[in-house]
Amino acid sequence: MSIEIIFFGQLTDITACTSIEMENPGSVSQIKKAMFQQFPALIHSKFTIALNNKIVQDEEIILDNSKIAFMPPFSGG
Amino acid sequence: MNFNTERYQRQLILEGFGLEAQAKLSEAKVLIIGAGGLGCPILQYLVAAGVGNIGICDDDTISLSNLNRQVLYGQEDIGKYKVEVAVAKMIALNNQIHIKAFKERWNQSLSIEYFPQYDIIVDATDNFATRYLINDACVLLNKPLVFGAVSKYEGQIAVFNVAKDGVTINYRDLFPDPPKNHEVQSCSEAGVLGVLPGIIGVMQAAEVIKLITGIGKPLINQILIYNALNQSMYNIQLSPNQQAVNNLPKTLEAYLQINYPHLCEAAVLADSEISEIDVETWILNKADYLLVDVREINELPSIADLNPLIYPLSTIKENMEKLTNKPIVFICQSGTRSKKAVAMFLQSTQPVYSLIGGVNELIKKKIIQ
Repeated sequence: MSIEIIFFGQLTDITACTSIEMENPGSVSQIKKAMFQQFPALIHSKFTIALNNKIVQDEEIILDNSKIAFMPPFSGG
Repeated sequence: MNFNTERYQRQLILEGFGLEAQAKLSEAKVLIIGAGGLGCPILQYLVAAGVGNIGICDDDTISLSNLNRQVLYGQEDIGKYKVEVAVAKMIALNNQIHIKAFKERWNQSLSIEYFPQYDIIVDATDNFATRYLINDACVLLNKPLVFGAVSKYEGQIAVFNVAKDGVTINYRDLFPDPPKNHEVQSCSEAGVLGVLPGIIGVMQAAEVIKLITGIGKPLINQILIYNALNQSMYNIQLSPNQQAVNNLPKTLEAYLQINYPHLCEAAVLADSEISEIDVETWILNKADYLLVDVREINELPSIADLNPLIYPLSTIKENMEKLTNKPIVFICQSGTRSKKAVAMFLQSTQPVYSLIGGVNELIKKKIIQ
C-alpha cells in the first residue's frame, strides 16, 4: 500500500513537485533514506517531518495511506 | 471607558466580542519586531483595532524594492526610516494609541529590557538570527510569541509559548538549531509574492487579537502553512522536543553570551576566513579588480553596466581556472552567495573578496538603478 509525501517551501525547488506517492517503507527514517536517494540535495536541506499532521521522530512507524510532510523553516518577513 | 465606541462600532456589535473585548484590546501591550512585509499589516490592523500600546522595531530604511509588499510606504518615503514613516501614518490612523518606536536592530539587551513591558511579542523579522534571538528570550521571560514567516508563495503562522493542555511549545521544538545561511534562501535571494506577507501578517494580527480578547482558538501548539498558489492550508500539531530543551539558553546570562548571527553562518564561512570589500573601496579601485556576478543568469536587476563576468555560484568551480589574472570581487544579491564563492577560492593564491551587501547595496548607494 502506498503513502503520500508532500513537500513545502524551498524543498520543492529540489523535488520539482509538491507531492509524490511511494510504497510504504515502514518508518520515518526509511522514508528519509529513500528521499535522500531520490533527491540527494535534500541531505543539505533543513526540514522537520510530520506524519498525518503531527511532528514525529525518525523511529516512528508508518501505517499505510499515511501522509508525510517535509517542512523547512521559512525566514522571510 | 477610554476608547471611542463609534470608531470600534463594527467589532463592538459582534457576538462574543463587545465592550469587554474592546477594553482588553485598549489595555494590551504588543511589541512588533520588524516593520517590513509582515510588520506593516500587523501594525496597521492592530492600531486600527484599538490595541492600546504598541512597540514597533526596525533599523532599516525604505527602498524601492520594498514597495511591492510593504504597502504602508510610498515612493516619497524611499530613503526614510521605516519606523519613522510607520509611526507617523499610525498616528494619523488612530491617535488614541500609544506607539513606541525602536529605530535599531533588535538584540538580546533589548529583549531583556523590554519584553517584560509587553504582553505579546510578534515576530515579523526577516532572518533566522533575530528569530532565534526573539524565541529564546520569549521562553526565558515567559512571553507569548506570535510567529510568522514567508518564503516565495508560502507562509507559516504559529503561536508559541502559550500553555495548552499542560504543553508549551517554542520555535526550537520545530527546528532545534538555526539553519545555516546556505541551507535556506532569504526573500532577497528566493523572492516573495507581494500579497503573501500581507496575508500572513494579517493572520498574525488576528492571532494577537484572539490571544488578547480570548475569542476563538489561537494556533497554540500547532503551525499553519499557507500556500497562495492553490489557496491551501496545512496544519501540523507540534510537540516538545528534547533537543530544543538542550539547545535553549538556561539563564539570561547564558542568553546574553550567544552570538546569534554566528549560529547561522556555515562553518566554512567563519568571518575571519572570508575577505570582504565594501562598495566604496571597490568603486575607487574598480579597474584593479575582476568583478564576477555569481547570481543565477536571470536574476534582476542586471548589472551589465558594470561589465561583470557572469558565473552562477553552481558553476564557479568548473570556471575557476578562467579567473586567474586579477584580484576578484564576487558579487551576488545580498552578499551571502558571494561569501560562499570566496570560500571556494580559499586555496587560491590570488586575492578574492566578497562585495558587502551585494547588488542591494549598489542600489542603496545609487550606483545602479
